[in-house]
Amino acid sequence: MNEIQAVQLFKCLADTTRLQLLSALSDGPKYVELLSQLLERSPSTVSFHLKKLEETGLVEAKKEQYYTMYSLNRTLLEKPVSQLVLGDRQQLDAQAVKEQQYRENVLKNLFEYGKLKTIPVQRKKRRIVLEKLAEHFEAGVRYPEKQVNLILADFHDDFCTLRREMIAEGIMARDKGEYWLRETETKEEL
Amino acid sequence: MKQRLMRYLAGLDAAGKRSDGLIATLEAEARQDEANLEKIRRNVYGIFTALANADWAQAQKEPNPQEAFERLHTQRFERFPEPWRQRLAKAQSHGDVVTQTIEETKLKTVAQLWRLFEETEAEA
Repeated sequence: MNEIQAVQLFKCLADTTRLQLLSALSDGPKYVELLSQLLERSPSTVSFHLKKLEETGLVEAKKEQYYTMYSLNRTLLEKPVSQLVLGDRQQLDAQAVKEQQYRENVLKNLFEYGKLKTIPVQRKKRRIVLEKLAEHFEAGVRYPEKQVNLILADFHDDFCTLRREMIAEGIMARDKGEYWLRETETKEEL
Repeated sequence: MKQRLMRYLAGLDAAGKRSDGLIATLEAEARQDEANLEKIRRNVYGIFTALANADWAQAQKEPNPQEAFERLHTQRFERFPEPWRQRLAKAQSHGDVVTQTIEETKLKTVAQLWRLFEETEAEA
């Protein structure tokens, strides 16, 4: 767990309703309606909090017949606080933390439900978006242009611009109608 | 007719004050996310207060201000929340519970205000 994840975890815990939900789940898995009755909160409010707890890994959701059952992630909850604060988490330097937060914000603002809302004009942001899209290509694989278009079209209608920008930014290389991640090329050269 | 507007605005003001009280309580109980949802409701009360005043001012420029206010403000209830309805549908189709809760909160508040608007008409 890195510093950002640790902060997110503690932020998530700093809420009375969420602590009550964790307490209610301590004697076994429960579904939303039951938790809603126990805590005297509306089912939508309970779902809202459970989603936040699920995102930080404090609870786990499992579909069972008609219900989604929520249970505690005891592995995480039973870790000593000292371990979370001081222990096994990866130390990130301040600049790296800032950079990671910036990247997360850019991606959060530009992507909605996996679709790219707009191709950013600012180069730094565009680079972050292109690097994110590059994750959908396998290293060492040579893709025909049609396949590159198909992959990029899943994210934005203007896949031609994205494809060209991948080349211009040096993320992908192109030769005789084939495209590949440049990272691979560099590693191979080394 | 002015009386009806005043009653409607008084209803909005009362709802806003109740909301302020609830926000303070929720924050005192360290229930920040629920306080934030209540702030969303509070914002909707504020938006509809501004819209009602704007519609009232606009209605005065028309030959029949009473009918014009009725029409203009009813249209607000239909058109203004449309982007919220669209975002809700999108959130539902993607299983985005957090956005769903936020958009549902706004739309429930609009529905509550529509009832208030209708009630003030019945009283008029």
